[in-house]
Amino acid sequence: MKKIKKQCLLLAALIAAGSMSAFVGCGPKGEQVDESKSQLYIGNMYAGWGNEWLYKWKEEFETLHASTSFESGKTGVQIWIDDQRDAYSGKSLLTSIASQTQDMYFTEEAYYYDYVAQDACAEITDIVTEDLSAKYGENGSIADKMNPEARDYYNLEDGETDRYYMLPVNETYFGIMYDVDLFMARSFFVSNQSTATSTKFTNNKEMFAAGPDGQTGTYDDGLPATYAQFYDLMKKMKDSSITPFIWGGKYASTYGNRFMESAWAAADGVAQMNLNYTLSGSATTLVESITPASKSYDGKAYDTSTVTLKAEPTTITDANANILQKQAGKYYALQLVSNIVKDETNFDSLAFSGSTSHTGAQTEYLYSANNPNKQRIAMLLDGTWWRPEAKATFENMAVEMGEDYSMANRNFGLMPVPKPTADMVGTPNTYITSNEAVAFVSAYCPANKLKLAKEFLQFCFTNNSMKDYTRITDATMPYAYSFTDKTEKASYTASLTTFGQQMMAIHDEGHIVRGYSSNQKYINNYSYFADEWDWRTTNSVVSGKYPFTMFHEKSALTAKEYFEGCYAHHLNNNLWN
Amino acid sequence: MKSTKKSGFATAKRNENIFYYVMVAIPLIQFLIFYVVVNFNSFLLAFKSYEFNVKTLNYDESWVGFANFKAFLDGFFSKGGTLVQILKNSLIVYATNLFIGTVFALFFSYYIYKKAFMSGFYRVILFMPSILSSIVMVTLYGYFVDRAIPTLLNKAFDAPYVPFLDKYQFPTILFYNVFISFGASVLMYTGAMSRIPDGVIEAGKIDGVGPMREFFVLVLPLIAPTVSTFLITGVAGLFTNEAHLYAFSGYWADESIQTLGYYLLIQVMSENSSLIDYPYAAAAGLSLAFVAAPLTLLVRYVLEKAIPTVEY
Repeated sequence: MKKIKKQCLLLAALIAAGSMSAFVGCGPKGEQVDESKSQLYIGNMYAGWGNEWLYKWKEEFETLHASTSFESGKTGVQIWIDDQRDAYSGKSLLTSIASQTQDMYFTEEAYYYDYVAQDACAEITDIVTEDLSAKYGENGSIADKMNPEARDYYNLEDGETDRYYMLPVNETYFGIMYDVDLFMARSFFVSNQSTATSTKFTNNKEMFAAGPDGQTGTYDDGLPATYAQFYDLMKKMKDSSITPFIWGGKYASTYGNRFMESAWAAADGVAQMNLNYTLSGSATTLVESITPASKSYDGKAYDTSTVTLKAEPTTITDANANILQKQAGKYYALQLVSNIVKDETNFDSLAFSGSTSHTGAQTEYLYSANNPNKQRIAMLLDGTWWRPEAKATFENMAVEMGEDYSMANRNFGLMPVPKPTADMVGTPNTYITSNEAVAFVSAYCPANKLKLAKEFLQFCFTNNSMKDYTRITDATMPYAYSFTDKTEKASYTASLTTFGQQMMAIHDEGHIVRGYSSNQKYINNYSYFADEWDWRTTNSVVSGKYPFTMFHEKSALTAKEYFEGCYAHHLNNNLWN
Repeated sequence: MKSTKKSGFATAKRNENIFYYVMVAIPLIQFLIFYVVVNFNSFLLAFKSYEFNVKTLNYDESWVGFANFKAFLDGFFSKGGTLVQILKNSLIVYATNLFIGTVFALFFSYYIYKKAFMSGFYRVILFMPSILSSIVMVTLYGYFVDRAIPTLLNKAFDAPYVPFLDKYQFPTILFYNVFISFGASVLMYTGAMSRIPDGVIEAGKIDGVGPMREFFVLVLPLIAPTVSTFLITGVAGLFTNEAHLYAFSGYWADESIQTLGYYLLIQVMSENSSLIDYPYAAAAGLSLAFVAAPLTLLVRYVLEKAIPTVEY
């Protein structure tokens, strides 16, 4: 009995000791609450981008304001970051923000209009439009350097005054991640000795072909310029006992859709792709007819049909925008994916496995570099956030297999989606942003904290903070970066990883579809345009919205049938009648 | 003396009435608070529509009559509507749970009730999924059916490596649903079985009743009210059962495997939904409730007629 009593006491003491740590305010890095400083609480949606960048901003801001008083009787600032994946995701947060205790948030999947209509965000117009020259030595305000399309979207000006409630944090792209080291080792780069009918490969940088942008000396040199070259590349990989692709089978439907959106944008370009959001302008890539063609790769027929465009541009309005379902880029994206997915030798056997999540696919991809039981995998379909997301896998590999497998010592790139046909080579590489992260101050932030919260938010979007963010995450922010001169820019660019340098080049080129829409019809039918518009089809073979999985399951389904089904489906929708 | 007796009866009658009304009031109050009050706004929402007003930075609402209900029904009857397939899936999930899940749960319960070989172990194993997180169970199951079994088949029979959640996704998820449902039902059925008087079973044994006959003739009729409760709640959940699809595929399960419960979930929770979609979701929920409520009452009525009350 005495022994039991002792054990109970010990247990109670342990529980009490455990509970006490919650009351003394011990942070994740052992930091203690300093009552003499103002406290700022931040909710961070801890997903692919992690939190390293946010801790860097915290550290810089705390140092900068070590002697500043934001509240009477307090000097200096202490920032607390609470990382949660689901609780701070845009959807969940909107329903729970009133009961949350954080002063500001960094989140994703937050639909701006919902947040504003629900009064979830504090107005931040003052800090967004404030000239930063006195405080931070910058020319102009955050609004001035914000990407113009983002500015039009986030500024809900009522005709007289600007009104900002959120700020976009990054530019992210979904597409083909390729293993640069593997491409070099196995000579998977396209040579400039290639002809229209024969693709040659090399690992000699001097002999790299110009890539899809048609210009040498750019990040896409040596990468396949056309779909035909891409199919040749996949064949070469398979001939070399390399598996071309893997992706997260658990989310193959949505990952496939995102990849196809990238392919669609790459084929149609920014102006034509933007019509799908503005529902206004002149459409020049509408398909008149499709000429069937195919080519055999190892006995499997690949669809190489070509399209004839309508001769005259079509004026797009709210009333007839459903005709955009005939955009050529959409057809070509379907064709590309049908060819990849219908040939099962193009991807790993786990690529459609429901047990392989996106992070599982990253692990398979990375570990394939040193897995005797499995063929090496050359390419991963994922978002540009995948490397920070796979940080733990890189670290584990470095421990298990040596530093050669660490993140710092492995090189990856984002392959621009090739052009459908040779005559399109030389047009700019176009990307589409997805999963945009945003930052905002909570409408429920206490009045005495509001000034501090806004000050920190403004600090996050200063030039130096943006540079830190890109250096840490390899992702750019949708604002103009400023450099004193070319030397500083060159020095900064050199400090980035090769992946980060590519992201910066894409940012600078600016051929980015951002997917913002302020069109009233679009806003009032948001889920239709965001969810149904891209890939919903009704045809004789299938009805649905996930072509990636449909092509995998229905080998008889053709890209043409799917494409024509998209137009047929949206033609019949009540929205257009 | 007489009046005292009368007064005593009146008091008892009054107390009985108070007891009755108090007992009836509890579920009624609960229904009013947790269904009518909570859902009141949802009822109204089903008849509204929202449009964003750039001037006021808010959604302007308007009454649209039965437009949202019509839009939901269009999903069943219009060309390209996917709801017929989704309804079919819901019915398949229900039928599988009913005809396979219930039958196997009863057999397993009987096995455990008879304290057969390793029955204690099975009891724990079958109940384990009910206490573990759904995500953990789905992950374990996914690895088992997508990696362990295909690898085993590949090594043992040189069969092609085929992950089950790839080629046989819906049946594999159905199997999971049956397996996962065992926990609660086995616990309830064994509980009901353990209440059967030993004398009844002993008498059966004396009369030479074997295990199968004992199960069908003695045990099953005596636990029939418990079985009927499960059947009724199964019907009530026909349109709300998301069949663990969220744990398997997040918000992106293919429409060919979606159920109505899952469909309703993603109407309001998927990344591409907005507050504007709530009225449609409310109308869909109400429409399904209009079908599910009378159906549940009908099934209960039929089962009450078909299954005699058992008291022991």
